[in-house]
Amino acid sequence: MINETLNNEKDLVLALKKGEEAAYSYLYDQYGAALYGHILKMTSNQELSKDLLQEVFIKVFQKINQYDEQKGLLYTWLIRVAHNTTLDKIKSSHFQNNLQTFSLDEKRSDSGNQGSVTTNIDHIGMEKVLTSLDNKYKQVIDLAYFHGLTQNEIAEQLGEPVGTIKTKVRKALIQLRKILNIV
Amino acid sequence: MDTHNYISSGILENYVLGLLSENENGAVERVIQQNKEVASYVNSLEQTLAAYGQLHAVQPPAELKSKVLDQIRTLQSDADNQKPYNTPVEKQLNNNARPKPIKIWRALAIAGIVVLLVSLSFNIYLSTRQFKTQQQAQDIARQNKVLLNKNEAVQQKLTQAEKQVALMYRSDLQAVVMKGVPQHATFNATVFWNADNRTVYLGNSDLPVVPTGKVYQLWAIVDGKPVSLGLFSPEKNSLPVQMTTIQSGKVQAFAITLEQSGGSPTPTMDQMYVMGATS
Repeated sequence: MINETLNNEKDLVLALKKGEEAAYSYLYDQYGAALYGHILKMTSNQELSKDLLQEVFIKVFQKINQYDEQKGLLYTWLIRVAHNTTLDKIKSSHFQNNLQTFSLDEKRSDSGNQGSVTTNIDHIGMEKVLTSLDNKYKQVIDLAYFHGLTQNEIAEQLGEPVGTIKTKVRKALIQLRKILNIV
Repeated sequence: MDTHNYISSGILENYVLGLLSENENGAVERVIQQNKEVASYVNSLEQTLAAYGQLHAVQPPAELKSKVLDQIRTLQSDADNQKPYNTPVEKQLNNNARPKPIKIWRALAIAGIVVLLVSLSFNIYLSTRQFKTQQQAQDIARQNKVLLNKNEAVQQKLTQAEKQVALMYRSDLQAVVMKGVPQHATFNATVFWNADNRTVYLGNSDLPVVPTGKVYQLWAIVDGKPVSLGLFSPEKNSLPVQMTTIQSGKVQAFAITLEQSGGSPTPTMDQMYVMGATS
């Protein structure tokens, strides 16, 4: 099963590198929602997230040759592209000026979902995961994964030593892995 | 490195969450490439995060997909238009200053290898051809030598034949055919001699090759006594050859015997091969 996924992914990457439109259409269907969700979680801004998602696909087209299967999953790479693109935007002065009209708290982010279609299965799955995952662990994962904070920044935000954050990160991922039943 | 300790150190979890420094990332990536257990653990962490990310997936507005694909199409056709010079990959490399020299060096290296291969195969072709030519030349030289030897032999035989014919046509010479004695009946030899000045030529003979340490000796029977006229062996002496001139006395016959090398003062009668009387 895993091998089949990997082979399919290899074919997909090859097609992407050739610039085949069908491959990008498939990529969008397969990963568009995850990338959009990630961006939305980072920006809490639907209009901006739409622009960013387009930008992410342009970057994928331009940088797909830099993707190395040896170094990780395609999904991880895509998220990194989306993450960095969004982070660049968030850190740009233009966005910082606009920030005054938006707040970056979690509630805003959730309300961003209202205008979009999310499958029920995802919601059920998320609810299950979110209730099972300790809040202290969820916090650490989200700060690193969705907000791109560094160890020091997380430590500062949570008022805990860096060493504690490192340990927490490990425990958080181990718990999440168990909940998601990933071998 | 203890793999178990490394995995449980927490560095890999921090790695997949992008919490490590550039240096630490590099170190982890090297370990991943060398250690399958670590690589598989990192893969499971990435899948965990991917699954977690998927849970937060939000379907983007429907019209966004066609916009995205329109952009991809534009990018792709731009890339295609530049294709004769730049494929998409090259275009991207050209945007980035650093890889360009690498591309040139690679192109040069490939060109170099191609030139080398062509030159090598041409060299092999040429040296094979040269080798063949040399062999042919050697063959021809060998054949030439054989022909030359044959030619020399023919020339010699011709010269001998001419000399023999010349002897036969000389009116001052008398031919005496010596016939094989009963033990050597198949052999013949001929002498030509001048009765006035008593010179003798051994004209020809079909006597067999002499055994080692032996030689043929020509005798004249003068006044009933054998007189040695000299030695010869067919493989050393090309006939005709002039022999010792006969001193005074009545020449009655000629004969050839096989003697020890160096010759004998008297003929060994049981080793007589041929004999012929003068009249």
